[in-house]
Amino acid sequence: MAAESENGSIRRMDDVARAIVAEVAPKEAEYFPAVARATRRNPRRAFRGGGDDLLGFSLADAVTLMTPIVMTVLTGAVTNTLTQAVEHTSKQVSERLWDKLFAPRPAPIADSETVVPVFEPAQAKETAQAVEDIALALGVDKATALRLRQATYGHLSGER
Amino acid sequence: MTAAGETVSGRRLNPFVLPSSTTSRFLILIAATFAGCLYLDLFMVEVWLRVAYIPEHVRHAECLSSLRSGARSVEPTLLVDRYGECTAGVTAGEALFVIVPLLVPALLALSLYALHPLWALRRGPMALAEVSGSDAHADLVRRFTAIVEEEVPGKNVRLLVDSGRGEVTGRAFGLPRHHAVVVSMGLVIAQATTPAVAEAVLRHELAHIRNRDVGIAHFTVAIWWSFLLAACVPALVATAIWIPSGLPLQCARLAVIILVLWLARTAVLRAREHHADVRAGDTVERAEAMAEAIEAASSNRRYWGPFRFFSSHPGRRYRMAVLNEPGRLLRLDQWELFSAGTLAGLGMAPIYDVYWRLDTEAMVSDALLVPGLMLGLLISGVIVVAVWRANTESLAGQGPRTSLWLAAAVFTTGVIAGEYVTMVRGELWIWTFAYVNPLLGLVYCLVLLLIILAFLAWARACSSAWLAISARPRLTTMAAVAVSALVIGPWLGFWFRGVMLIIQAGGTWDLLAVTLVAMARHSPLVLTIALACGYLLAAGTRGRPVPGRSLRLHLDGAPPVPLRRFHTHLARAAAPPAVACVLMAAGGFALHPMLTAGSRQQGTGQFLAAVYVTMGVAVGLLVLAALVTGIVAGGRGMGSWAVAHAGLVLLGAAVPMALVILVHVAVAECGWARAGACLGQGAPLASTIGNYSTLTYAYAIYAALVLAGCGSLLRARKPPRIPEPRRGARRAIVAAATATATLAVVAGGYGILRNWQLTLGYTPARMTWQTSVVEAANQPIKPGSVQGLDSCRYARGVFASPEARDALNTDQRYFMLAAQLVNRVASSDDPALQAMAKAGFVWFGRGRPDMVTKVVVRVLHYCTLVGGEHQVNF
Repeated sequence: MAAESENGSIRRMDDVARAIVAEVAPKEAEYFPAVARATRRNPRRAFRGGGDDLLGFSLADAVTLMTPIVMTVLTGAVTNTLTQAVEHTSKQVSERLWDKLFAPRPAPIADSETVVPVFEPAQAKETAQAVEDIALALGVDKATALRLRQATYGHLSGER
Repeated sequence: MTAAGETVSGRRLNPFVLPSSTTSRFLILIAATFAGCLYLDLFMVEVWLRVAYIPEHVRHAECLSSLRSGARSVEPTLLVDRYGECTAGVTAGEALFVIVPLLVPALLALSLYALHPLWALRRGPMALAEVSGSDAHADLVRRFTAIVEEEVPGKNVRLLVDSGRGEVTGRAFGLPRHHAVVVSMGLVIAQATTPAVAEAVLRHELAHIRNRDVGIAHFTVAIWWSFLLAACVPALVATAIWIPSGLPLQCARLAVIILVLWLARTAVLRAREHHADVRAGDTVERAEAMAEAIEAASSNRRYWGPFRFFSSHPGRRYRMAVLNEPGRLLRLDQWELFSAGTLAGLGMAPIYDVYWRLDTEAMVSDALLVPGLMLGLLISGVIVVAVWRANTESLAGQGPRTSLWLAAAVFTTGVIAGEYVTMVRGELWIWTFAYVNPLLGLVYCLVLLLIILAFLAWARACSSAWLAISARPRLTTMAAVAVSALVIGPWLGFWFRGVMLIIQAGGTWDLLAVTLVAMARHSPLVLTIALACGYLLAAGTRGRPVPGRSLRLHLDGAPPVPLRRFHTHLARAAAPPAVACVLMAAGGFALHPMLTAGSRQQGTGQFLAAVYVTMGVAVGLLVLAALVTGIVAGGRGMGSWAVAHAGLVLLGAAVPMALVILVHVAVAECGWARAGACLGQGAPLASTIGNYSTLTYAYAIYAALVLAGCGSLLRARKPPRIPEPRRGARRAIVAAATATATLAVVAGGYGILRNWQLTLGYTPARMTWQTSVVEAANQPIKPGSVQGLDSCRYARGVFASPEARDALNTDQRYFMLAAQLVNRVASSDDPALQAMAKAGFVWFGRGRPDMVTKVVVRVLHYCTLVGGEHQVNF
């Protein structure tokens, strides 16, 4: 893994995540700082939603936010806890009652200044696959999930 | 067309004309929580007293020792008064044990409500303008701000964004004047692709602020948690510690209460969602956008059939149905009626219990009046508003006509069901009839059904009359609720009192007759009829609102609908009773021989059969006058109107009729020369007139109302010919007649109130006892010849088993029994009872019925304590 990209600049966590999100959901990227801040504040809620808000409108259509997915997986990748991160996240989105009640607390999201190195192709592929899997588990359509995987791979492997 | 293919119809009723069902349901929730807390508090106090072994005679030990030690040394009336004050203080202190714990959940609920903005902000939502700096977002902020200005102009509403939430949703919260709407990031993002849905959701949240239900919703949740934390948990802990064996039963009771409260809670929350949907879709275009948003809502699921009542949000199907046909929100909800009835049945015993503890020496009817008024307020706030709402649908010519029979039956069933729950606590109420005399119980239920039916019919007539002339319908409805509480409260209190009396005294048919006759002539109830009639007729004296301020009965910008106006014709209606008074004045001389014979026996002609005959003739004339009044004032669809005219003009006629009777009695007894002096003898003139007018009105009114309705039916065969009142000279005549009638009503009302004060003992008065009372008090006494326990056994049973013939003379019958009691107690070997008997004789001698009643109450209370000391159950 190289700490710098091909043009020599150091890649920060939020820059990479924002670039990935911008490719797949440009509208969401406009609000990246706000969503990233909320994700860091409560990673668990990013995947489990607010529940059936008693006094709210009663949950109209859900827009699946890409930012929490990308940031969670990137955090796992840069801290070498990808397997654990994927496992925890899959429990977060699981429909099983046990997982709903006793899902393990997800690891905190890495700081925005965390350096994201250029990954080896195999590692980038593994990370991109994890992103796609989580996106699909959250109900993202296949085409969008595929684009998310491709964008993740491209940015992590240094192709973009 | 909506997303579901359903059309939003163009002629939709406006459900916001009157206070919404959200408010009614919230009232039910508060009442249910109050009843639940009171129930648990009473339970815990009783259990604690039992576990700690502090029976009643131990709690009153100081009062007992003071009474016994002073029995031979202190002046009897003073001693008995001190005893009364002492016991009242002890029981009032016990009441505080129940009342103070009620404050804990109330304060907790208030605190939770006050703190809810902090809870809503715990996830750190950002201001909408600060979420992004892009141009597109600036456009979005401008658009959302414009919507806020459009929906809630002039209000300070903050727009926040919950950045971590992907659903397209929002939530309104905040304290009054500091509201905020937090929308999800999903909604902000969705605005780019489906702006109609996103804006509909925002309008829905703002509609909660427009509907003023934000506070209601958060208070609802706060009440729920405060009940669980401050009432249920302590009750469970106390049960587990004090009576572990009773824990399963207590858990079952709590489960039922919690289930009821959950249903009340979800009913409030569902109603507010429906109203917000309709408010947000108050034009055709917005309604279609709202329908699209509802279609997209993903939580329209889970509950099917009756289980939907457990959900805080209505299902998609119901939301769409209400959006398309908002008139559904106006219809009479039978569950609301049932809940109100259940709470009335459930709450009466605990409220009466607490009130009685606060004032142990109150007359039973007085002690039940206050709880009756409290429940009257609940019933009025729920079912009167519901009837008014339902009637707007009829006034607009849409929707089915509400069946008041069904509504009254549902409410009555609710009361009976609520009484069943109180029976679990060991109270003796209507269900006791099932074991004693089921047929009698059914008759008593039928009486309640008829009372409620008449009340609902009156409420509907009031809504038709008042809404036609109202420019501010919500204010008018609130006034109607206050009047309705005064009208129905005393009736409810008396109905419960009747049940209590019958159950305690043995459940006989004679007792039913006594109770019903006593109910018929009870002053507060008679006054409620006058109030009800007067309130209805008052609508007919007012002008129509200026054009443009009539009721907007429809949504979608439809113009106001002018409603049919009713006119009051008091002068015309007052003529028949006036003729009746003149006829009585002239024809009363024929009764003089009988009156003369009667009056020579007893002095001033009170409570004599001859006087009752005279009054009977007067009542007959008044009833016939009511029939004519019904014909004059009634017509097709004017039955209630005719009945109200008859009720009010008869009240005005009762005063002159009482004077006519009184003058005839005085002339027959004393002759023309001394008639003036005789009129001033005995009880004050105002009281005497009040008594006669009360009795005349009370005995005439029920038959008169029925006959007035019949008269209206007779009139209905022909088209009404009564012209609308014209301006000018006739207006002056109407004003003069109205002023005269008002003066008569005021004079009669004053007399009735004064008479009532005398009855309750608020005003000292000297009573002339009947011979039977004097004889009962003067029976031979052998001091020390009867054991204390035997005296008490006799005293406790002396008021049981009244007979039907006592119904016509309830006042003197009571004092005859009181005289028997005092006489028997005077022969007791207990010095305390002897002292009480001496006090009783003193007050009998001074002709003070109020103090005699107090002595009787104190004797009975003392006997209860003596029974406790000797482990005897009287």
